[in-house]
Amino acid sequence: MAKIIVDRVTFGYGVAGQAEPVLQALSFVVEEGEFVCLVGPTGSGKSTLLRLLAGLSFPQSGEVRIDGRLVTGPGPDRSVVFQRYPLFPWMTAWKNVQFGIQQAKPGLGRHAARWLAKEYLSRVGMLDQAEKLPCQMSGGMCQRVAIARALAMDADILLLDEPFGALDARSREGLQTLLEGLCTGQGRRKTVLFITHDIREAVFLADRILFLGGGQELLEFSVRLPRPRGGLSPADDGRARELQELLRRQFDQLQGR
Amino acid sequence: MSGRWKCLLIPHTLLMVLVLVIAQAPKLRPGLSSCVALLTAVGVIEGAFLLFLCLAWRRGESGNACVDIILLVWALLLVWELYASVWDRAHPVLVPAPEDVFDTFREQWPTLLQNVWHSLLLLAVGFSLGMYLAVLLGLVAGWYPRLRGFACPIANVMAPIPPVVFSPYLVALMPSFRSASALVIVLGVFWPTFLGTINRVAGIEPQLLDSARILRPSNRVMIFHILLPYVFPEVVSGLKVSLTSSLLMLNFAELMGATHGMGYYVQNSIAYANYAHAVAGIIVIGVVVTILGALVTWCQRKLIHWR
Repeated sequence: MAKIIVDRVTFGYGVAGQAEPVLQALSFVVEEGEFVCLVGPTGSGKSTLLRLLAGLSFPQSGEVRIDGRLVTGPGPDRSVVFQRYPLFPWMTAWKNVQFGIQQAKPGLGRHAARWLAKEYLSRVGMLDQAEKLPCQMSGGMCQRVAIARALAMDADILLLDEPFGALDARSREGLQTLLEGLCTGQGRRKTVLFITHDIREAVFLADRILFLGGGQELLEFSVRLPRPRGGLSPADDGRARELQELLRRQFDQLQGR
Repeated sequence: MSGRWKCLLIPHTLLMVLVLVIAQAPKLRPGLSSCVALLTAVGVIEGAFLLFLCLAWRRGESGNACVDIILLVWALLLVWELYASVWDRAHPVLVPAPEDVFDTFREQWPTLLQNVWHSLLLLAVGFSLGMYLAVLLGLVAGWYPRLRGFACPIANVMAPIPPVVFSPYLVALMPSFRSASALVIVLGVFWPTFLGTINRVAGIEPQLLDSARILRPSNRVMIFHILLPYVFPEVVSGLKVSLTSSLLMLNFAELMGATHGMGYYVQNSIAYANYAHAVAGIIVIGVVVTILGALVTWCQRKLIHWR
C-alpha cells in the first residue's frame, strides 16, 4: 500500500508565482516499508520536498498524502532528523531522547520515557555517552543520538535530511551500516525517505533511488541488491558500482547544463 | 630570586614606605583618628592582592595586571596620606584624612551594614521582579506573532526612556519611598530585557525551530522547554548590564529622598559636610558592586555549560 503520495506538487519561495518554483508538478509514491533515497544537485528542491512531507511547509498546488490523509502539519506518524541542530544543545543526549519520547507519547510516564530512552541509546551504541551534552560530542555521535530519538518516537515514517552530510568518511560508514540495520532488518521495517548528495551512500542504503533534477524532472532507479550491504559478493558489488556510475553520469549531465 | 618573585619587590617596598608613613603620622599630627583601621584596610588589600596574584599564576598568567593595580593603589594611598595627614596641605573639610575615612568603618560598621542590607534588599526585589516579568512576558510576546506586533512598538517607545528621568515623579506618586525605588529598578530592568527577549525569540534560528516543531510541542512546552533555554544565555549575559543599570537607578533613587540605603548614607553625610563618611560610603558601594559583578560572572559560567 502506498504510504506517501506526492501528487503534482508545486512549491516556490518568494511571493507565490513570481519566482520560478523549486518543485513543479512533482509526483511520486513511496510504498510502506520502502527505503527511498532522494538524490539531486544543490537547489533541486530535496530539502524543500522533505519539509513538505514533514508538514513544516505546504505546497502551493497539488497535495501530499500520508496513509491517504492530507498532510496539515507535523504528525506523530513521521519523525525527522536534520543535518543542523539534530539535537537541542541544552539537553544531554539522554534528555534529548527522553524529551522526544515524552512529546510523541504524552501518556507515558517520565520514568518509563527515561527507561525507553536508555534502551534506544544502547541500540545506537551511545549508552556510555548518555550524560554528555551535544557540544561535548562529535557530529557523528550527535547524529547517532538523533537517530535514537527518531526511532524511539516510534513513527512509521523516518525523514532524514542529509543527516551524515557533515561527517567524516569513517563515522559516515559506521552510521550507514547502523541505519541500515535499524530500519531494514526483519520485523522493524520503517518507511524511510533519506536525502543525500552522496551517490555511494544512496546505493548502499536505498531500495529505490529518486533522482530529483530540479523542477519537474524525476528519475527512478531500483536498487536490487541483497541486504545487509556491508559485505556484498563480488558480483553484487560490481552491480552496485555500475549503478553508481550510471547515477554519477546523470548527475554530471544535469550540472553541465 | 627568580623572575616571578621579582615583581613583588616594588609593590612591597612601596607598601613598607606606606606603612612607615602611616605609623609616623600620629606623631607628626596629633588629633587624627587611630590608624588601626587604616592599617587593617591596608592588610586586607595586601591579602586580596596576594590572593589574586596566586590565582593568576595558577592560571599561567604573568599577574602583571595585579601588580600594576596594586602599585597604583599604594601610590594613591601614599599620596593621599602624605597630602592630607602628614603635610596637612589638603582642604580640612573637603578632603578627609585616610585615617578618618577608614576609621568610619570601625566606628560606623553597624550603620553601614544596615544601609547595605537595605540597598541590597531593594535591589534584589526590583531586579528579580523586573527580570522575571521581562523574560516571562518576553517569551510569550515573542512566540505569539500577534502579541509581538502589539508589544514591540510599545517596548520600542518605552525602552529608551531612562527610568531615572521619571523616578522623581514615581517617588511622588507611589505610597512609600521603597515601593517607588523598587518600581524604578523594575522599570529600568524590564524594558531592555523584555525587548531583548522578544527579539531573540523572534530571531530564533529556523533550523532549531524546525527541529522543535516536528516534535509537536504544546505552546507551554515550546515556551518553557525550547524558547526559555534558547534565550537564557542571552539573558544571563545581559545580567551584568542590567545589574549595573539597576544599581545606578537604585543609588539615584536613594539620593532622592530615602531614609535608608547606601545612596542615602552618602547623600546624608554630604548634607552634614561629613566627607569622611561620604568617602567611606562610596568605597563600600564600590566593594558591593564589585562583589555583585563577580557573582554574576560566576553565575554566567555555571549556568551556561552547554555552549
